[in-house]
Amino acid sequence: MARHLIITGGTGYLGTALVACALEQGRAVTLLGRRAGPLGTQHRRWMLGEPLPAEIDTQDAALVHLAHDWRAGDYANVAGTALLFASAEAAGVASRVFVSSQSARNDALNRYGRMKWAAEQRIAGATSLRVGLIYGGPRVAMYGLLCRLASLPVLPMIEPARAVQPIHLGEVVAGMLAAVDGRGTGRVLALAGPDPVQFGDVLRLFARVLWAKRLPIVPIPLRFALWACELSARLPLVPTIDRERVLGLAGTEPIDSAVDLARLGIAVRPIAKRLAAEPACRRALLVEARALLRRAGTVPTSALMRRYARAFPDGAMVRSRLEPIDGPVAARMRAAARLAEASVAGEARLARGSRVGRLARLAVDSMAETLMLPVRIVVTRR
Amino acid sequence: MTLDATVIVIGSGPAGVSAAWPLVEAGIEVLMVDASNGVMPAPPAHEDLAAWRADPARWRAELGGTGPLAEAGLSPKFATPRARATLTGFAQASGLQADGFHAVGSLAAGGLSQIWGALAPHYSPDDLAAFPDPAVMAASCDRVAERIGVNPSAILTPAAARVAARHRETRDDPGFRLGPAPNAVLAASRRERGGCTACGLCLHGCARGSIYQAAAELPALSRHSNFRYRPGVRVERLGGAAGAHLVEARAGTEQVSLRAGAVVLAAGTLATTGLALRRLGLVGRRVRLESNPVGGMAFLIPGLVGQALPARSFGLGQLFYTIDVEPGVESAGVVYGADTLPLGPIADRLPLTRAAALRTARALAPALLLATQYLPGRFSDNRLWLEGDGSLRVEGHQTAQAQQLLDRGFATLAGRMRRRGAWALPGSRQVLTPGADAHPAGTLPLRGTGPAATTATGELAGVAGVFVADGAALPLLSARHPTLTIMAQADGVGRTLARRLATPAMAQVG
Repeated sequence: MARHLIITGGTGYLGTALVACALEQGRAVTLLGRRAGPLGTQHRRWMLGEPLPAEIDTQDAALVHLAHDWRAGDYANVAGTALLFASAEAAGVASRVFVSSQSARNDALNRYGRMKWAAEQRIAGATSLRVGLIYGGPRVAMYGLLCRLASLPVLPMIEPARAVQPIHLGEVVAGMLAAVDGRGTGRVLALAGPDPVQFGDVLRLFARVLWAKRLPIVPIPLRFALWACELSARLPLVPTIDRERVLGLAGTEPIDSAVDLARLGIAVRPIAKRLAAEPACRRALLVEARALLRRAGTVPTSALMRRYARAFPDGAMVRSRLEPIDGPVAARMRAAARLAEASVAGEARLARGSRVGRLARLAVDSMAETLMLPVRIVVTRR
Repeated sequence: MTLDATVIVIGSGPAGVSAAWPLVEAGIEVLMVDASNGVMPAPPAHEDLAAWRADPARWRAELGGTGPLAEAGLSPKFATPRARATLTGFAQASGLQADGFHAVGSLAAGGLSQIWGALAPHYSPDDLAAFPDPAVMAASCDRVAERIGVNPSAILTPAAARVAARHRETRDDPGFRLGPAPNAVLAASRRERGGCTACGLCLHGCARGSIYQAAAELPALSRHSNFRYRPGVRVERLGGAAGAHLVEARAGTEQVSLRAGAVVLAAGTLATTGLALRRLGLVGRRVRLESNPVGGMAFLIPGLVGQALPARSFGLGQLFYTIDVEPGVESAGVVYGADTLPLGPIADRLPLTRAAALRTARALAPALLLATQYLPGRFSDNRLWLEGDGSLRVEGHQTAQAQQLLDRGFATLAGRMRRRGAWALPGSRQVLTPGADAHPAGTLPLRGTGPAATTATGELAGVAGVFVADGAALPLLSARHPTLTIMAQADGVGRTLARRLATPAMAQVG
């Protein structure tokens, strides 16, 4: 096990999670970069284009290179990476890990992908991890952007059927640490979900479990999107759409990751199962529990809400104003009703009143429900 | 050779206990084993239904603490913590895979009687005619009925009471018989068992022991010095070794091997059949498995709609009926009140918004009667066989004839109930999966002619000294609930074996 991790880009989305996990495992961490890291880490000022600082203790050390300079040119990134790895090798850092991208290809549509590919070629002896679409953890970086996009009422999207290979932040960190500890040394490994998922479905899943809503997606042709980028760059007062991001999304090709994941010893759970366990998704599910329990006629206590949540590990559903007659939402309403009936407050509400009151209520209910039933059928029909 | 016991009884359910009694009373050394390995959840100690409904922890008991909410599914009696503890592990332990069949069995002490409906009607004289000695069977039935305390249901819910009262005023309907359900429930205290107080919590297990369940007889049996009981022993196969029968079992992680002069199989039809087929070496041979084709429907007594739910009630069968569906075909069924049940399953069937559905179910519950209807086992079409890897397979089919007869029976029932003030609820009729009756039987029938059968005395054909005491040996599965008859047959097996062992010349059995 590498006792000491030297990390670039350690304050970003992926880096923060890696640093936290490494510290938890009792490893020493040195961050290279402009900003210092959390308590317990060392910091050395460093910029892409500089070699590994000389004074760093390299015994039992491993290098994890996450940093990417968007402002620097292609050459600066590739050459800077090569220099860092060469100097690290010279300083005796045995384990060197480069965090690359699923889009890394010689002929990638986006510059980022081409650059990552070029860097991979210049760091012989190091391990390159081509990371898939990362989700989970704090809602920042690409994950944060996708979460925000999923909250839109309608999402125009390039190629929603494009396959992506989501992988949880925690799983990526575990994969990076496995590589650091020497699994798969010297190879280019795919660190991405083994089963490709349609990108549109990922965003729809985000919309459901995070925002409890449906996400209509309007597919737009790539050509049109690039034209919009160009247009946005020329028009005043309109935020510029980054052509690079658009190409990054459009250019990802599926990679076969099952063998590499086995090599790293990492089990990647399907996003549909894992995403729902994210704290934000759990909160959304509890919000759903409260709404449905209330609607079923009880006072939602936290114990009841948690019980409801335990029954639905798939996360929140799309809610509707009207109760559907059947389908998954109706099944959840029935579960809420079961809990409501068995709860103290629900029981008290059902038990109260006189027979006359109950009969009157029955008459009112049946009239209202008879009027409402056709509406419910029509409106909630899928 | 030293024996662990003269007779080993496998299973502590109604059949095992019934077979053990005559043996124990004859002074024969009996070892009873079962696969139970845990304690059953205690029955609720609430005073009555009102206290139960007001308990803040009720949802945990009714719906479970984790995972999907416990579903009532086929019957509310399968949805309690008690039922979960009773049924758990059986399919896995017996390597059972069922297709188109709801296979139930139990590893618990007392077996399925932990959660049975306690309905214990006598088979009709016509039914008993299929047994080797009807007169002896009838006597055994009476003896068992006395032992377990079968009484016509004394406590009727208002809805059932109305139907019963109207029934008394109604001219005879030919081919339809209705009366209070004959339940193995004590009205007055007797020895360890208390009398029924109509607390209404029957579904969750009777804290007073009013409802018969076989495990409650174990202390009484254990007072005899020649009876021993060993739980946690899951029997895997039977063998024979030099004048003794070998019972190979697993106790925890340990492999145990017990020897006896004779073995009584009472592990429940499915487990018993598995052991018997394994002993006979019948791999791949399909054996007929009988079950009662079963359905249910709901009735409403309009005059009771909107009443408050009672604080006390009785949760088991209220009324028992039989219908001559066609000449020579009798169906039977039980009428339950809905006032002791969770409302969820009723509300689920109403196409209303949930809050209104719960209110409606609550208003209907006191006025609702739920009737089951069973057909004789001969209308079932299930097969059971042993796979080469030792696992047990069951395949079930619902026959068109069974469907037809149930439909006809329900139509008759609807008419008869209508004359007694109960209206059939449209759309409530349903036919359940084969096996949902939980009466699997008849795989090793007495005097059967197939490869797997038992002799007139219940001895496994071809293996002297191994007796089958449970439902597997029933020569006929009537529409009427079979428990009492199974127990009577087990009683007969126990008596036969006791007589044989009492004759010194015959002491060496098997």
